[in-house]
Formats: sequence, C-alpha cells, structure tokens
Amino acid sequence: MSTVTCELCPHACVIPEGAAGDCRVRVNLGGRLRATTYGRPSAIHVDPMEKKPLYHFHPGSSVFSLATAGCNLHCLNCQNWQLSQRGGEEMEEVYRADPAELVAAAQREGCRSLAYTYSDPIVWYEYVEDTAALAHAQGLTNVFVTAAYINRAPLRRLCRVLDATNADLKAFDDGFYRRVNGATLKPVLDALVTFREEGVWTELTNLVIPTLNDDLAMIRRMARWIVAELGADTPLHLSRFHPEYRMRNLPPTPTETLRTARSAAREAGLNYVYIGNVMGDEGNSTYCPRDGTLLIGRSGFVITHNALTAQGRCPTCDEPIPGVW
Amino acid sequence: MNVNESTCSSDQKLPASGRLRRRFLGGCASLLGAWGLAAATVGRQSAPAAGPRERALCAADFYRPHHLAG
Repeated sequence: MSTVTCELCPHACVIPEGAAGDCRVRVNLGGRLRATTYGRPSAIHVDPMEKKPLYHFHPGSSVFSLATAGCNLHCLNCQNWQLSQRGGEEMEEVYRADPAELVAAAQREGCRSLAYTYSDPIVWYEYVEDTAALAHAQGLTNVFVTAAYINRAPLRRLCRVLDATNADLKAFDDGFYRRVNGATLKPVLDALVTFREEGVWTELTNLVIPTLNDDLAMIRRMARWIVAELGADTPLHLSRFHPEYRMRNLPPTPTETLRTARSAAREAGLNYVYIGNVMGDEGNSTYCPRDGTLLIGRSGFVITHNALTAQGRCPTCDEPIPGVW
Repeated sequence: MNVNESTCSSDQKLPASGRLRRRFLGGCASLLGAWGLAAATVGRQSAPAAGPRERALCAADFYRPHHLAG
C-alpha cells in the first residue's frame, strides 16, 4: 500500500492509496498524488475587482474569476460551501477548460486580470500556476483570493506568477482558527509575510463575526501585527458576516460594530481600513491618509467617484497612494 | 430530478462569450459519478509552466511518497 504525504499545506495529510486529502481533491492514485480538478472549473464569472475585494488594484476593472471544487479549510460560516466543501465528482456543473482556453475567454470578455477565487485556489495549485503563467505571457495579471493556509515553499514558487492577493486573516486567535476554520493561525501569518516579501500586492479581509472574533482588543492586536509585519499601507477589509452554512445561529454583524472596529484598526496605525458587505457606508471609500480627501468613492462594488491622479496620488496634497493603479 | 443529457453535461465547454456576467451555478441536475476519477483519466493538452507535467490526470506537486507497514 503506497501512502503519500501531501506537502502543499500545513495539514500534511497522510493519504492512503485511493483516498483524498482533507481538501477532497488531491488524490493518491497508485502511490502518486493527483490534482483531480485540473482543467475542470465549476464556477466561472466576470466580476468587478471590488468584489474580490481589491480596492488598490486596477479599480473598476473586470476580472475573470474561476474556481474548482475543494478547499483545505472547513469554515463553519463558508459562503461558498456548495463549491468548497465538495469533491469534483460531487459538483453539479463541471466545465472543461485548459489554461489556454481560460486565458482566451478572459481576453474575449475584456478582462485584464484573472482571479483564482471562490473556493481556496491553494488546492488547485497546478491549474492556477499553469493558467497564471499563460496569462502573464498574454499581458494579463493574476489575483489570488485565499485563506493563505499553505506551506512556504509552494507559496514562494506560486508568487512568481501572482500579482495581487486578497488573503483572509480570519481572526488573530489560534483557537478561533481551530474551532471555526479547521486550521491554525501561525502558517497563515507566515504566508502573509511571504506574499509581502515576494512583492505580491496584498490586501487582507477580516470577516467580523458577532461574539466570535469581534473583540476590540483582538482587532487592535491584529492591526498592530499588520503594521509591524506587512506595513501600515496594507489595506484591511472588515467585512460583515451573514449567517450561512453551519453558522446560522448568529445575526449579521451590526454596522456599528464594524465602524468601531475600523476606528480601532486605524488608531492602531493602519492607513486604509474598509468596511465590506455594507452598501454605501463611508468605510467603502478610500481617503487620503494625509489630508482626508475622498480619493475613490464606492458604494458596494460600484465606483462612484475617482479623484486619484494618473500617477496614483492625492490631487490635493500629492500624497502617493499605494497600489497598482 | 430528470437528467436531460442533451442540455446538461457534467463536463461542459465554457459558456459563450457574454454569458459570464451572471451567476450560473446550479440549475443542472446532479450527475454524481459521471465526472470523477475515471473521466479524469482522459488526456488533455495544457501549456506547462514549470517544466513538463503529466496531465493525463494531473500529477500534483509537493508530496512525499512513503510506505506504511501493515
């Protein structure tokens, strides 16, 4: 019986022959590990970049977004559990598309970027890598939307073909990761640092769940860590929780909780803290950290105002605004 | 639910251009087992990024084979 140990993510699954890892999609066949969703996406959409969410990366552009089945986390509140908590053979719709077809489709749709998203693209690593390399060759950029539960060596290699990421920082508490996500905190923090070291434009999302991770002291600690390790200019999206999947007992996050958390994160030194999943809130928009000028106004995923100069600076005080404009 | 195989495939081509700006998950009857490891053995062409890979059923990277007693 040939068993394999998967070394892609920190789970380090020991997989007997004929079985899949924790992600459901990396399968040991005859003593060789196989990525069984390669070339077989189950979700493909054209989205606004703001939906990822990326606010400092080609704002207002369309991004060709895809996913296959599978995930290496098992978040009790997953919004895409029909996709992420299934193996490929359980999906109702599976497309057949090799990397070249995806890139061609993205170009046909007028997209300048592809996003590997919805489920966690870590578990379809090879498909991401091949597609992203081809996309680069065609002048397109690559966006990786992830929970960042991946080992450093594979992440470093993948970063060569990535341009931007929105990575979850689900809580600044290892116990939360273990209870709610089926993961641990430390590898996520290491991965976030790796993104930054490798020059991938990085924005973070923290989904604020009432009673579970809305403690202000924890949010301050998280913000201070981000400032120290990733930089004060790292955008942080504090997103509103909606009851979903196995966590339907909790209410949506009160808007006031998000506003208070945003204030705390800014006081801790972060320059760009956003409120997500609350349409029309002032926290949807980008302001100059130096003089407070409204730079990019947003309502949900729609840009209502863009005053950034062509060089990505504040039109009032000429402060450079970090991002890929 | 009935399965209309003429309109519902478990292994479809990409949708036509212009049809991707809406959600289209769901709406297709389940064909459990129709797609899976057996189907995945069908060969495919893809452009390798970091050296040649076996794509007949994509060989994963980052794993260590070993043998367990028993």
